[in-house]
Formats: sequence, C-alpha cells, structure tokens
Amino acid sequence: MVDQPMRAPLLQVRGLGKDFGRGPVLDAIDLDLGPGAMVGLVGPNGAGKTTLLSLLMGLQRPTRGEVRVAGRALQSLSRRRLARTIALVPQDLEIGFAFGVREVVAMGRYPHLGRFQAPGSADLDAVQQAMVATGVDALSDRTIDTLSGGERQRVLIARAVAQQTPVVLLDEVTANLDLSHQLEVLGLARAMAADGRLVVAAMHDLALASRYCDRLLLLGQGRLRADGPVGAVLTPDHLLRFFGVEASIDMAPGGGLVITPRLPGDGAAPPGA
Amino acid sequence: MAKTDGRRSAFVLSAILLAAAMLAGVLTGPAAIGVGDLTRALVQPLLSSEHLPGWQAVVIWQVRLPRVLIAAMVGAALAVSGAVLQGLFRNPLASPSVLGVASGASLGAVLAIFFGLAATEVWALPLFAFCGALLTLFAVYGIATRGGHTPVATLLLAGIAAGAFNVAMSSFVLALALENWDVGKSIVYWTMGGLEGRTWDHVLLLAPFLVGGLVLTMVYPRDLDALLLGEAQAASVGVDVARTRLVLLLVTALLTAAAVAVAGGIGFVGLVVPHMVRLLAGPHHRRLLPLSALMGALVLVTADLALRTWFAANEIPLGVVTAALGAPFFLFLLLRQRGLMSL
Repeated sequence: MVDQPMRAPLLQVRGLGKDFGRGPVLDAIDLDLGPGAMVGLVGPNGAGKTTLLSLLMGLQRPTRGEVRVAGRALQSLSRRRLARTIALVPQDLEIGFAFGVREVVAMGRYPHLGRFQAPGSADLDAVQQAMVATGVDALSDRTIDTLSGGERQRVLIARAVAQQTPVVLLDEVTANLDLSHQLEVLGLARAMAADGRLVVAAMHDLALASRYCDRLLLLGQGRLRADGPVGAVLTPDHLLRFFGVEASIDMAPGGGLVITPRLPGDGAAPPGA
Repeated sequence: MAKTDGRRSAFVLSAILLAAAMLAGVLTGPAAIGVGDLTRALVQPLLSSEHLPGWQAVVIWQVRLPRVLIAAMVGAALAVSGAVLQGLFRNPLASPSVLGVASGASLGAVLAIFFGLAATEVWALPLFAFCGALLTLFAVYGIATRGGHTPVATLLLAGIAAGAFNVAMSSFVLALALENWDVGKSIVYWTMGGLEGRTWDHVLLLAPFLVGGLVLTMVYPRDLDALLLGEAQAASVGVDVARTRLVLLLVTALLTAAAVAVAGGIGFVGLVVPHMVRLLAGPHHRRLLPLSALMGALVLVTADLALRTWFAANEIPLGVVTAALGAPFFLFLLLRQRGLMSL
C-alpha cells in the first residue's frame, strides 16, 4: 500500500444528496479525492454507487450539497470543459448502429475538438495509443454492433482513455469481462493512477478491489459508511453489517485480501483476521 | 481509400439520378412536351424578354417545374427529419410521425379545409398546418419534460398519444364534413397526400424551411453520432444533450410541418430513406444527413413520376404510392435484419 502525500483535492464533495421519488438514494456524502490515486467504490447493489458516479460526472443534479472540480463548482463548468476533466465508462451499452470500433474510440476526442474541427495527428495518436493499451486494436476493423459484451466494454474504456482526462470514473466495468481482461483493465487503471490521474472505480469484486485500490469508499444504503485504506474498510464487521455476509479476512500473498465467507455448515467463524 | 471513394460516389450517383428523375418529371404529363420544348422554355427568358412564351413553356414553368421541385423538397425534408429523429431516439424505427407532429400539421390543414379557409386564402392551409404541428410539439415536449429532463421514452409515448389524439380529431372533423361531399372529399384527398395544383407559392413557402432546416441539422452531426452511444455517454464527451435535443426536435418539427403543409400526409419516406442510406453509406451523420436529403428527394420525385406515368387516369394520391412501396420495403428491411440476427 502506497502512502499518498496530501495533495490538493481534485474532486471535492460536500453534503451530497440525491432523492428519487421514494426517498433519498444518497445522503450526506463528504469526499476529498486527489490526483494520482486509484479509489475503489464498493457496496451492495442499490447502495448508490452508479448514482454517485453520475453526480460526480454532472449527469444528474444533486438534491442537496455540491461537487467541486479543481475548486470550481461543477454546475459552473460547461459540458465540454467538464468532459475534458472527467471521463465516465458506463456498465454496459446496447448499440444498434454499425459504428466502427475506431470511430467509437475517436469520440473520446470530441471534447478537445472545435465543432467543425477535424481530428489532428495528436488526436489520432491518442486514439491509437488508447486502443493498444486496452487491447482493442485487434478489433479496429470491426463494427461495434458485432462485438461481444466484453469487447464492447473494452472499446468504451478505450474511448475514455483517449479522452485523456485527469479524472476517470469506471462503473463496474469488469462485470462482463473474462478474468484475463479484468486484470488487464484494472492494471491499466492502476497505471493511469500511477501516472497522476484520479481513477474512481465502482467494483463489485471485493478481492480485486482490495488488490488494485489504494483507498476504498464503502457505500451502504446511500451513505458513506467507510473511507480509507483497504484494511480499514473491508473488515468482517463491515462485511456483516453492510453486505450481510459473515466472513473471515486474510492478507493475500501478493497483496490485497482474501475474503472467506462462512457458509452454513462450516464451524463457527474465527473472530476476524 | 476505397471506402471514401465508394461513399463519395454514392453522393454523385444520387445527385445524377435526382437530376434525371427531375428531368423526367418535367417531361411527363398529359400534355406532350419534349426536350426541345424544355430547352426553349428554360433558355428563352434569358435571351429575350419580349418573346411570348408558348403554351409548353407555361405548362413547364407554372405546372411541372413547381411540382417536381416540391416533390424533391418534401422528400428531402421528410428524409432528413427521419434521419435526425432516428439518431435522437437511437431507434431505427423513429420517423417524422413519431412525435405526432405530422398528424398535428394534418389536423390543422383539415380544420382549414373544413372551415372553408383553404379555398379562399392560399396561405390559410399551410399556416394552420404549421400551427397544428408546433402546438403538438410544444404539448408533447411539455408533457414529457420535468425538471429540465426529457426522458426519451416519455417523449415517444407522449408523441404517440398526441398522434392518436390528432388522428381522432381529424376523423371527427371528417365525419362532420362528409355531409358536404366536396369538403369531405377535399379533406380525404389532402390527408392521403399529393402534389396536384401546387404552385410557386408553395415552393416559396417550403424553400426557406428546407434550406434553414438542412443547414441547422448540419451543425450537429457529431452530436448525433455521440448520441448513438446514449445520452450519458454523449454528455460524457461534452455534448449538451438537452440543448441539442431541443434544437433538433424543433428543426424536425419545422421541416415536417412545412412538408405536410404543402404535400399532405406522405408517409414512409422519413422512415425508410435513412435506412437505405445507412445501408449504402454507413451511419455517420455527416454523410447520412445530406445523403438522406438527396435520396429522399429522389424517391419522392420518382414516386410522383410513377404516379403520373402509370396512374395518370385515376387520381391516386402520392401518399398511397409511398405507403404501397414503403411498407413492403420496410418489411424487407425487418426480415433482413432478423435474418442477420439469427445467424
């Protein structure tokens, strides 16, 4: 685990809350997120992870509180300005039109181009590098409607990489990928963080989250229940209270945690690691 | 590169075919007019202003040319509207009638005919049609928007509801009108779409909307491309989704209203032509939009030509021809799509 020195918060969240028809989906979220970090956002389904990412991206307006990007209120930034700062990769997308893979990745350059400006060599390079880094350059002659779910996901990630933003938000992007591709994508995310970007990744796989993230945010029922290093957030107590799972937690040899749930029929679980 | 050449040639080919179709359109009709007559009619006004035009020139200038031009413009307007709406709604089944705007224009026109205004004042019918279209658009948009958000699904449903309402009201007016057979007949024929008796007044009415609409849509091809990935992803790459959608909805409403105001209820052009273009030239809106305009013009001019060649004796409305050709073609597209998917 790397000790991060204090840096100016790139994303600052104060008192953030969002209500939908039946009540608050998110409430009282306070966060300071700085560059050069890979932050994992974990929590059970329905905890509000996607909503939080959506609010950070300005796709929805909060009911309460505010988000500040590099010190400026999110609402005050134009769409394009925001798009040059934050990129979001969604969970999955059905695309019924025969767009070429390279063309989809090239859309990541739109925020950097004037309305009628054609992409320049710098843009084309960014697209190519992004495709190589995510392993989709092999698919560059295909159209997006012929790809499998996992391939499509990697193309969308390439698009966000080509966008070259200081902040990258990933919404459960490893959900449809083979293990090898999951590791590839998470490795790429980690490299981007080491390179100085802020990567916030909503993840459902706690073991992988513990392996790849420096810091975890635990969302439970719309509130931030824990914020800190992996070992402080993924505790047997938290697992029981917020995931409803009794488990024991051990350190894995290469780093990260091994979570061993107690199944009915096992003996009594040891009291934590 | 081979791909670019292929697509450029699609433009050139469509333009040539359109010119040929328009030429044929001018030369076709009950009065026999040949290429010589046409050349003289076009050239003489330029050469000497005193020379009295022959009857052929009158027919060409006052009857055929406006008709062919309007066919081209209406086809272009409907096809571009369809292409834009299919991109906005990410749905290849969207068409200008999906927001109820076409039926709103129709209702306005029907009311104008019913109240006898269309007979007295040339501008009355188009004006009523416009009002009907815009009122419907505002109603649909207003119903579907809450707190600055206009969910696409709600927009579509509101459009369908408005369309149903407009059609019901039109039928109601028609039922009332049938007591006076002339008025009823007028309404029925108008609803089925046609270009009989269209004049330069109609051309002048339609032209600014067509040109303005086409120019405006060509500001947004990148946004439309980005919107194909969904609104969240489009916003993620910097597209102002709310504003883009509002502007484009307005533009398609105006294009559709103008087309319907002039030519009545002509269907399937807005639905089928963009598909054809996508098959030929791909889904990029920078090509799709202008090419749809060209092909839409070509399709409608050809349909009108076919009408005047083979059905000159009967008064078959143009809308019937486009439906008769369009529906089977649409079915063919669906089956092809289904066949591809089952592989």
